[in-house]
Amino acid sequence: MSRVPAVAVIGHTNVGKTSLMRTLTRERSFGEISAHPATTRHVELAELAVAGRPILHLFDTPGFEDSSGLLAHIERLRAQRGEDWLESLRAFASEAKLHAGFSQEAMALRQILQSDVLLYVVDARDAVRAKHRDELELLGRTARPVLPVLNFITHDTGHESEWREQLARVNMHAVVPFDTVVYRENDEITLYTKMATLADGLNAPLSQLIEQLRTARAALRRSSATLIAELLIDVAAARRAYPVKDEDQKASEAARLQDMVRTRERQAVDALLKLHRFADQDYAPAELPFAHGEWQQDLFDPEVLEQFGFNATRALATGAAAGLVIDLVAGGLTLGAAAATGAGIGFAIDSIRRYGKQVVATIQGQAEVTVDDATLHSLLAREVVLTAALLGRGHAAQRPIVGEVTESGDLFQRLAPTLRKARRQKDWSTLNDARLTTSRAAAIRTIATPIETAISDERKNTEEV
Amino acid sequence: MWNTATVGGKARKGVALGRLLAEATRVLETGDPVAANADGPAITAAQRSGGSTEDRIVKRAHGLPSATPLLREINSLRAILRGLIVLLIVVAGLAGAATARTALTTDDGTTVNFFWAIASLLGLHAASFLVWIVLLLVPSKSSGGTLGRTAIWLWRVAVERVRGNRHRLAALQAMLGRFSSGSAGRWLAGSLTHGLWAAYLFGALLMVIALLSAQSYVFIWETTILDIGTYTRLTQLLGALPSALGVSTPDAAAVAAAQWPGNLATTDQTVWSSLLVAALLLYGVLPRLAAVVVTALLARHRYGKARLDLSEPSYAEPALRVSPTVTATEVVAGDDEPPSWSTAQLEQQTVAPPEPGPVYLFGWEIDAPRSGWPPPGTAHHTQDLGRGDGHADLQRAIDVIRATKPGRLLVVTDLRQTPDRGVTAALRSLREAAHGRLVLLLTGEDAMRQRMGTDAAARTRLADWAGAGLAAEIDTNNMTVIDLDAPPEETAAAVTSLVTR
Repeated sequence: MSRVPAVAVIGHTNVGKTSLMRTLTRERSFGEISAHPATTRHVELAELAVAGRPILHLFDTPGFEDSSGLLAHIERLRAQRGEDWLESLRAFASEAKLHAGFSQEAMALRQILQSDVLLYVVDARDAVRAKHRDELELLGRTARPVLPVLNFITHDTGHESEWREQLARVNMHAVVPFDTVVYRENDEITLYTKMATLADGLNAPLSQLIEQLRTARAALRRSSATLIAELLIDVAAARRAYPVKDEDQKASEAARLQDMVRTRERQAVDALLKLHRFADQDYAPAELPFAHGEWQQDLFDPEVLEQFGFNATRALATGAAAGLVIDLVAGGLTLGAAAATGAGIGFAIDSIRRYGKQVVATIQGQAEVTVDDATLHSLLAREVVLTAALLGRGHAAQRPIVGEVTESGDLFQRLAPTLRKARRQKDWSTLNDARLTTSRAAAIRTIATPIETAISDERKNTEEV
Repeated sequence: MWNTATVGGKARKGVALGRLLAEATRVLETGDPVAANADGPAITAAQRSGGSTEDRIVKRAHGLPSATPLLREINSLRAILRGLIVLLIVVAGLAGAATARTALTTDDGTTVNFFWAIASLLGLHAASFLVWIVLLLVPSKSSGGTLGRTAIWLWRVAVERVRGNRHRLAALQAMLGRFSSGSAGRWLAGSLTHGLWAAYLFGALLMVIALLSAQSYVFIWETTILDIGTYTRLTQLLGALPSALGVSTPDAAAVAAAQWPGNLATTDQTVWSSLLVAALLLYGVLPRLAAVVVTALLARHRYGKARLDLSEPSYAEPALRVSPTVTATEVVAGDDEPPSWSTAQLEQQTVAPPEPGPVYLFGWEIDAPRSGWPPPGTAHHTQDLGRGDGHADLQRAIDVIRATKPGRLLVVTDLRQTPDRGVTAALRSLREAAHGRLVLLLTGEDAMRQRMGTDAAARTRLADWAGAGLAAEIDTNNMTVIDLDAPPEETAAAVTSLVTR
């Protein structure tokens, strides 16, 4: 097809035509949106492209206002000039002297007559009025295929069936629910699929568009998960050193660490917003709650044993087995004592291997504060919920997402082994001024996958509600 | 034929280098995002080049000012890696030669245990080769042999020791990422491992040939518990492939003659020598060289296929900019007349009682309020014209009102509705019909506030209605906000004062 297919977005004033444009283009700043009537006073084009090639032209138009008056006006014109409907509409649209105060509508009609398909946006919260019926009659006279788009269906659906019935009466049976504030991937795919059936030559470009949409959404989920994974690894591996027993220094290092974590979270949120093509004002986060994290230096501290329980237990088991062998060799004379010693040695060896640097630091009189699990847990939960909210947000939404701390369920447990490993890897954190290693990238990939699944699940949950 | 292959090879190399450059650029930009518009020319060039998003990202990386230093660093790091590999190959060859010398050295200087020598020359190689094959069959993360990984590790250590600039670090990070990840990295490490083994065995082979040329050996075998049949079979097994290729190998008689201590004078040392050389070549050098070729080809193939991971967050933005989903937005037509919103406020002042005459009640484009229609408190004082929308309903109402001059026309509209020009036109004709005695009652404030979300938006809507009223020449004194969805007793009192004198 040499000419790029043209689609006009039309409808009564203030039903969300520009909002639909914003959501379909992911351009938050497209056009102008307000609660006023007649905010859009021009025809504005957005060119959708696949692989850089223009595939579809979307035209935003000024809304109809006095539809009944317009219908009456054109009917009069038709009677005066003795033409058929289409010719009268063409004459009205092109000749300024015939506008008679309907210049906004004339502008929209001019675009309608040049388009292959019309997207007729309806605010499903409003009842079907005579003005809407008059619009539909007018549209029927333009000889253009119309796809009605029901906006705001997720708010209250009071009039949806009424609208469907009315649209069916004027032979518009293909209707698409599409909320410009609450985004659903399937709705957008349905919109394009149904649009493709309405006119020749739309199928190929729209299939490409749908394909691109699917790929982009999948990449968006993956990229978001990676951003969250990077945040978690950076925070889990972050640490600040202080001289042992210097409580003042410890407090100030802890405060510094909290600042660093807050800044890092803000960075991650900014990156997420940017990735999803939203801006600062779209998110109003709650304050990140901090529990006081501290790196326990005492290797035999019960809490450390518990925190790193699995490894300690294994080490103990290995050591005890070694002790048992010695016992057997010694003829069972020192049964208890040797086993206990063996366990101690086994654990010490495992600990030195794992915590060697901490031990050296302890000898040098250094201790470290780190971020505790509870903080990591809430960071994870916040970012997963935020991402799910961003995935379900139309680019016309005006109210910010309110960040709330929620539970991340068992997701944290699934990430825990990698995060625990991260705690021991100082050079996994960009917050530590360390050179990054390739094992960091591997760890990020490892935890990004369950995060991605969790985001999809969270998204499904919110869509069902 | 040869020509096209070379061209294809060059193109593939270009693709691999391009991806490496794009990766290095990404690493560089992750730490230090390019200032907006700084990559404008590169983006334009990439957009113009066409092709897939990946191609365009590579094109963009080539167009950035950072391309020159990054390519320089990539080449330098590659040169270091190449140098290191050459060095390791030389070391491996020397190690092989040393092993061969040890294997052919005995206390008395002339007799060499043949099977012992074979085992020490080929044993470790055979074992590691088998392990590699087993690991190949078992799907695991382990990558292509210890030697190859060690070589890459050595290279990395060597490079990191030299404190580099940020371009060098970015190039290093990118190369490590490409070398150590996925099956391509595994095959690359594999080909390195096999290459080093091949060098080792080749060194051994050369040394064996040199020693056999310049020294006189007597090959023997000895045993304490095994019988001669075992060694005969072993020799046949070892000699099967060489003899199939025409190399003369020891027969049963030669094996019998070589038992220590025995009648060694009758043995022919050349058959043992040729078997030793042939075994080294056929079971050592050649399999390893074949493995080098296979793994190198596989690595090359995999690198050709290893696309950039465009789901990396730091690719998202350049990807969108080099192949935008919205290529243009432009205002096609429009009037430049700026929309002027009314700033009129509905002040809560009491509306004066109606003039003498009938009081009409008309609902315009509304659903029945919760308190019912007609609103409570109006029943005995008003003539209800019902609720209507559209031209016909409007005309019907106007005809009734025109018939007798009304004392008041109370028009009820819904704040949830957007006050458009249609509303203004209807209000204007109603006002004219009612000789200016129109009072506008705006209902549904609570529902409207809920829908609008914020107080500011709600106030905008109220102002727009005031503006619509003014446009229909209705004075703000004759507009009032009464929520007919409120409980009936509450609304009754408010409405009654509007319709009674």
